[in-house]
Amino acid sequence: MLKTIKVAIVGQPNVGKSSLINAISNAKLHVGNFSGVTVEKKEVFLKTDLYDIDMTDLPGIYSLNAYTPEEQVAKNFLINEDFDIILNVVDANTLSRNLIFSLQLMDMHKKMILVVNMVDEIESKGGKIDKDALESLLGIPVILTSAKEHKGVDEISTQIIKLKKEDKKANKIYYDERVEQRIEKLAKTLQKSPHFRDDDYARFIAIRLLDRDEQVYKIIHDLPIFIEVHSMLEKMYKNLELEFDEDSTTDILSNERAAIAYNLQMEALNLKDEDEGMSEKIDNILIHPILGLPIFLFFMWALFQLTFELGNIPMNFIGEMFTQTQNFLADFLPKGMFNSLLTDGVLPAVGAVVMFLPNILILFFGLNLLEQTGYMSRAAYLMDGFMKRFGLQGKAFVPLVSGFGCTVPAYMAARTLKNPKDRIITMLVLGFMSCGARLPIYVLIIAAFFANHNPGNVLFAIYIGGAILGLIVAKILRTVLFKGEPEPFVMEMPPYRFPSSKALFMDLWIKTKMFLKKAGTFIAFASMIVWFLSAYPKNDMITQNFQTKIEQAKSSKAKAALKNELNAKLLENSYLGSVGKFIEPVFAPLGFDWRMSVSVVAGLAAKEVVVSTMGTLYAVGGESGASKGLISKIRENVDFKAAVALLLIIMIYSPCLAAMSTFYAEIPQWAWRVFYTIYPNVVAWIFAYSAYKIL
Amino acid sequence: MKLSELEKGQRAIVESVDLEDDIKKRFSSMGLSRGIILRVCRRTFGSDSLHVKLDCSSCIALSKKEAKHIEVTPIGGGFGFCHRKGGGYKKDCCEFGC
Ligand SMILES: Nc1nc2c(ncn2[C@@H]2O[C@H](COP(=O)(O)OP(=O)(O)O)[C@@H](O)[C@H]2O)c(=O)[nH]1
Repeated sequence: MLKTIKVAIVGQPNVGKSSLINAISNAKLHVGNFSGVTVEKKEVFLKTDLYDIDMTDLPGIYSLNAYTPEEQVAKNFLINEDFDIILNVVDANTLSRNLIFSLQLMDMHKKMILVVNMVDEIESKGGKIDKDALESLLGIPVILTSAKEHKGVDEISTQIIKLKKEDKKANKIYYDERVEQRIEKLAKTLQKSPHFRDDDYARFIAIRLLDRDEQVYKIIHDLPIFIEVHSMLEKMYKNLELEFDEDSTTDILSNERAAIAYNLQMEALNLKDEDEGMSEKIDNILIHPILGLPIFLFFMWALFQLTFELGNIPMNFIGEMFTQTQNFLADFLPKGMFNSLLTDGVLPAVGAVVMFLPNILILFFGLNLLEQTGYMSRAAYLMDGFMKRFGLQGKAFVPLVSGFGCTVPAYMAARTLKNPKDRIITMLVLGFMSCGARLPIYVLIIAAFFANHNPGNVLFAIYIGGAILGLIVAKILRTVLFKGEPEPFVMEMPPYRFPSSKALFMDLWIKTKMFLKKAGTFIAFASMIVWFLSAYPKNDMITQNFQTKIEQAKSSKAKAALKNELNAKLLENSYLGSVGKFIEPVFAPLGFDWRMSVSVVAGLAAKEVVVSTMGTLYAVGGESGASKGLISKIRENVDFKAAVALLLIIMIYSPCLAAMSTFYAEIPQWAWRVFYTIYPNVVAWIFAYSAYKIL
Repeated sequence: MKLSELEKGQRAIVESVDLEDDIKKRFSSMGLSRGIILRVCRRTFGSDSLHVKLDCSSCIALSKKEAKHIEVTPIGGGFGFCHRKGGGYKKDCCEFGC
């Protein structure tokens, strides 16, 4: 067994932590969740000759005074988990701000490495970071890296191993004499408790207490020494605040750290000229007070145009491929149940879904680009005032827009909101932001009924319509159920950076793999069930009845018509037909036939299943299943009003199972869970019904 | 003077942040705390939110509501060095844009 070195990777958001991790050679990346919460946990495993290195990437965190639930996860890890080394990644461009946090980390007095990333940007400005100065001042190893240019990255593992062997901890940060006295005294008192025997730990806790860290205060609260510590703290707060003439001891410590960090930067960063501000020039246009919003809307519009127009090009090809395979297999395989299962059940269904892969990839690519370039936080800034009118704040905008991609990560992204009310409102309306998986249904219906209008525009209208509905519902929720103000809006606006094409394509590749895997497993399985339910029980009576009629029929046309009638009859008498009949009353007022009703209900499992189920149900009796066949089948079988009603249902009703369970995991209150499960479906039905009646 | 009252492009030094403890800590960990030099880059239509550059390095967005509680002293234009509370002088780089 090799020895394992546990490393916690810590840093403020946008310092390039993920890029750095991706750049480490020979590393195995494992993505999971932090225990009990839905925050993504990335672990990197690295094998070397002597050690296994196990690095955990913590969510970006601005300081130990954790603010959002997501940051809380990072902080909890730092305080409660066992690890050997802190790998603190900082951005060279905002060195002093980053170092303030590093100083907080150094209070822990653990082994620590400082990784100064983005040095390429400093160098291109003609500047330089003095690594030796930083090392000697902080007393910890410093590595200068550029994840973009792959510089210094591989030094990380060497340094980790070296540090593990050494018995050298970070320098102590010494605060003002008056503060130090208090820290010492407090630490002594803390050490009376068996919890804080360790000198370093006691000092760390003492500093956190003086920093008015509520979470650490809670730890003390349940211990026998609490009374003594509490009265001591109260006195210290009062005296220190008097001595320094500050409102809070927190300010005293922050000022101390800010001054140290500032001086560190003065020593270590040699920057001749501030950059002329490329970002600034772009911002002059993109977030112009008046033009900003129209530009944002234009970007979204362009994205949906591309999604439809560009995505449609390979669509025929993919559809054709599936139809060919289907026809080939139907002839090639021996006739029978397996043949039918594969060529009538699985292939049309999977084909109907895979056809839309290009559309989905384009949408994801666009959203990813908006996020990665730093434009999304600008959009949030632009939207803040607007969102406030609907009872939300600008930051909620980011999860809402990522909801256009997939609802599951969007729910998780809502963790960047601190206020629980803001979070829950955002999550309750997130489902109205149509996700990528609903795209196939829209594209299908639009192609069948709106082909004469500009399809991209219709698509854009659907997405915008959902967003507007979401905002209105948010407003209603805020006034009726969640009274109060949204949390203050403050957000970093990182400089524009063009993400590396490798990272972008990596992301698309992962999306593609996941999508195909889902189509090949979950969707295929679901379509098998649908096929089985639609093919059984066998009804020989009807078949025989029709067989004789077909034989007697004169023209081949009549024969074909009878054949279709037979298939329809068989389908109606299948298990699925019965289910459809059972739920039909709910959907009948919307003009749905039982096949649409079944498809919509199946969509609760996953939105792709709507299309795949339609693929199976409408394909039965047709010559070719997937692709354009389905579009014309839908056009023949569904009237326009019902199609609009279907669009509205899909737009509004509950998201898929995966999203719902994410919501349940995030929101523990049963009342909200029940509300969440019911209300979108009611709203959806009402909208669809009204549309059907009015049209 | 309050941060919300600064003109676009004006530089100022932060005197105090009079907000609740939580949000005050948040501002300070994002780089906005007493003694820092900032510059208002722009506002949104209707002045609901501000885009501010801090310490010549990082940018944040914040809303007017909070900006009303941040006391600042404007500092003169022109190139050169400007004093920074808490020690040290800094070359006034904020002169170029944001
Ligand atoms: N110029 C430059 N850009 C970088 C570097 N590392 C990361 N980036 C870019 O910075 C942005 C944020 O990086 P990311 O890894 O997502 O940051 P995280 O939030 O810390 O995980 C991305 O657009 C990266 O392409 C670097 O060393 N140099």
